[in-house]
Amino acid sequence: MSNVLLVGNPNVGKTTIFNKLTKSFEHTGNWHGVTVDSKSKLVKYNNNNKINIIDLPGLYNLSSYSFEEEVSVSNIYNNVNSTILNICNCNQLAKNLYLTLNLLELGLKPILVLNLYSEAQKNSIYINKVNLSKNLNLQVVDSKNLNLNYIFQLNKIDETSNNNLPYLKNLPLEQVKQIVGSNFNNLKTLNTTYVSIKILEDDKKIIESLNLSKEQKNKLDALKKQDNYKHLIARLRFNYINTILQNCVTVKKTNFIYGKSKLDRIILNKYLCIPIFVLLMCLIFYLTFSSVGGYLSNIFKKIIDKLFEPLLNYMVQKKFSPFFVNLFYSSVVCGVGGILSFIPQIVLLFLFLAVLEDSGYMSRVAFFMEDILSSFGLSGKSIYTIIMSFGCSTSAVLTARTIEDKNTKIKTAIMCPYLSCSAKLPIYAVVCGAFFSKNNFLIIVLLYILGVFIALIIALLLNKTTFKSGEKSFILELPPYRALSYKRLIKVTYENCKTFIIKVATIILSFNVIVFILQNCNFKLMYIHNLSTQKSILQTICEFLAPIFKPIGLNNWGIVACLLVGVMAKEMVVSTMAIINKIPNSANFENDLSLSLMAGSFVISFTQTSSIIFMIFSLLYLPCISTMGVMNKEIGIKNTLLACIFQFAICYLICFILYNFLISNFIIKVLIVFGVIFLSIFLIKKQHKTKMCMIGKCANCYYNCTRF
Amino acid sequence: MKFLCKTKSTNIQIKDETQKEICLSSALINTYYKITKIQHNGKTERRLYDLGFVKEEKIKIIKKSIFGGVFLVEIMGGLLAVKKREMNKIWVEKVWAMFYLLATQM
Repeated sequence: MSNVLLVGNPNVGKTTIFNKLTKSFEHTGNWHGVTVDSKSKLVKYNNNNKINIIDLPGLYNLSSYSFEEEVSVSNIYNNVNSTILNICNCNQLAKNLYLTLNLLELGLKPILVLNLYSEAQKNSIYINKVNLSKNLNLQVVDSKNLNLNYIFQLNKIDETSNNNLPYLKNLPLEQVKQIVGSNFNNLKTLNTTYVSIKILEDDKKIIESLNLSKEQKNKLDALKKQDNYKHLIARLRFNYINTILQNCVTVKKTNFIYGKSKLDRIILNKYLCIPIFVLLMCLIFYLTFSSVGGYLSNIFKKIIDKLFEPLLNYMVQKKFSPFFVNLFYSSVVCGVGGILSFIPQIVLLFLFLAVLEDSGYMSRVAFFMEDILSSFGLSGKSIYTIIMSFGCSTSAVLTARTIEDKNTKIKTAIMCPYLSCSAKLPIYAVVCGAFFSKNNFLIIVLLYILGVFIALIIALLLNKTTFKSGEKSFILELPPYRALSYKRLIKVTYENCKTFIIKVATIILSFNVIVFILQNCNFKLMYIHNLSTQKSILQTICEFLAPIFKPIGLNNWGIVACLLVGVMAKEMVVSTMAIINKIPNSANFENDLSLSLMAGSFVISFTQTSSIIFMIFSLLYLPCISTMGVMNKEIGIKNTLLACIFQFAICYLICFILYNFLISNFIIKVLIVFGVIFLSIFLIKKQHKTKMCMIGKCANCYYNCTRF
Repeated sequence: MKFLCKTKSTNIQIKDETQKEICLSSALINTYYKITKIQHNGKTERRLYDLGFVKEEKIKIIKKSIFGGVFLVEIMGGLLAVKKREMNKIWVEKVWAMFYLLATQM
């Protein structure tokens, strides 16, 4: 079994090729840093031969710059004997071949895969593949022709010919080799020429692994001082690339700039960029929650109803035991059926996010939001995480990996669970349906805005205290605009439906069964036929915990049970509500559940005030278990635990203040509002003054202070 | 007209338009410049080199962000968003339009 590594610059289409070769559906998008971890898949070809295809995060150079690049570099170093597919974007061949030269310096013989060839031709860029192959002494393939058999054949062709890189003669590699001497043995897998180049490039990881003595280090420092070798090497590489491309590439449009579009005049306009972004997000939410989403959801509810009804009737007719009929009715019909009816809205949200991702707009948003987000101690790239959080917090936390600054990355990961993910959507829909049916859409949008607002405040707070960010760099490539193809549209819809149904059928169903048993059995694990006479396990535990929630107006064991189960998966909140209130799945499931929340006769019931508190508490209280797991992997167990405790405390505090404000009388409400306004003005003025004093060294002042 | 360039090494350097070299953040929009010097260190320096910020390379500012903290530049036939702080340490020289046209046609 051999390995095939997919290597290339960010956003050149590595994962798309990986999906094509392995027939899988890994996440792709038209922005920098979609893939943040290596993914591998074992595939069979030609009479059961096995091949392991590994997709790596994008990188520009073999000296890593960010966390995801480290993954790629270590994978390449550990697989120097594997087949390397170097994916290049034909529109930016000069930039992409820079990495190819890095690979050649390492002594590898990658297969050059030309991606987006037809797009390049549309842009009047014509590549002579034969000449390119001759000049680089590499196999060159169009990505359209790429398949496993072809890779296998190409791999067989040449193993012997060497690549001479003429520009290396201009570097003092022999001197470096003399100084390092036997220390090269510490990096046996890498060739000495490559290690010498990396020493001149000041690659700290390589230098550290060589275990050089002080004398050797001093000698190398003296050698490096003779010239700026980092710059010299880069320049030599680009000059070499230019000489190669002169014979291989014809560009008919002299003013062609990859990624430049007339649309940017409007989208990146100083005054229009933010209003357009806000309008676009509002439109997405409107289509998801109100018009299209609502219509599709109603159709779906009817379908689910028709699916479950015959099954339940069959169980009753065949006289199954009351325990099993009740278990099926509560866990499957109420719990799973209730949640499945939200599929259209959730899939629609993911679909719109996919459109945003594929369009190239996300990078533009990162560009114009950098200024605003950096004032909260975040990076422009944090916008990827924020937008992805509207879909799923778990995958959103992973996108924070593209952020180079460690503290900014931690802050971005911590703020993720404060944002409204798609799993919280059913909670809002059900509760708003009961108490705010006329302003349903407005309340949901306000909750989304509240989530973003609190997340930004938290980021600012962390930036001022524990995770201060120093000078952060921000360099980002802007991709061209692209439309979502109908094939991808179908795939995104299908895959999201599949993922959601699998999650509901496995995790949520099994937790529903546990909740049902806990709710219907006593501590002797005996089934309780009459819940009004005996207390169940769930009721006993939650009644014990309920006083904690009394100060925020959620003093009801059913609500506590929903919140507790919601930590496992947020979708569980609504299904637990349905189980506890015993709502049948019907075409009107959402309405029935909503009505039960208003009626005092059911276990879980709200007043208008407590419904607001419940929605805000659900929005902010704790991330789900899977998000906690990813956070643990990305920012460490200590930071994750502290973040969760902090999040719960903040949420409790907000709900406590808001609840007491809402139940207080009119005069106190007015006084509080005025107090908050005056305090805000005072704080803003104070901060403004401090800022002026900080920069007011008039002699060297960078700002025009006279205007004050 | 005077340009203000804030760098780490020298607190404030004032460059006159008549002077050849200016820092990229004070360069004019939609005007071609060529890179003359990069004063960055460490990882950022290497990343800039990887993306084509090398001496003699032509560069043009396309747009500034809302508060002027980020610039959109055209380099090596592509678009890059770069923070002003990074731009302050990149020194450029104006490429006269006629010479540039001649150079591109050649």
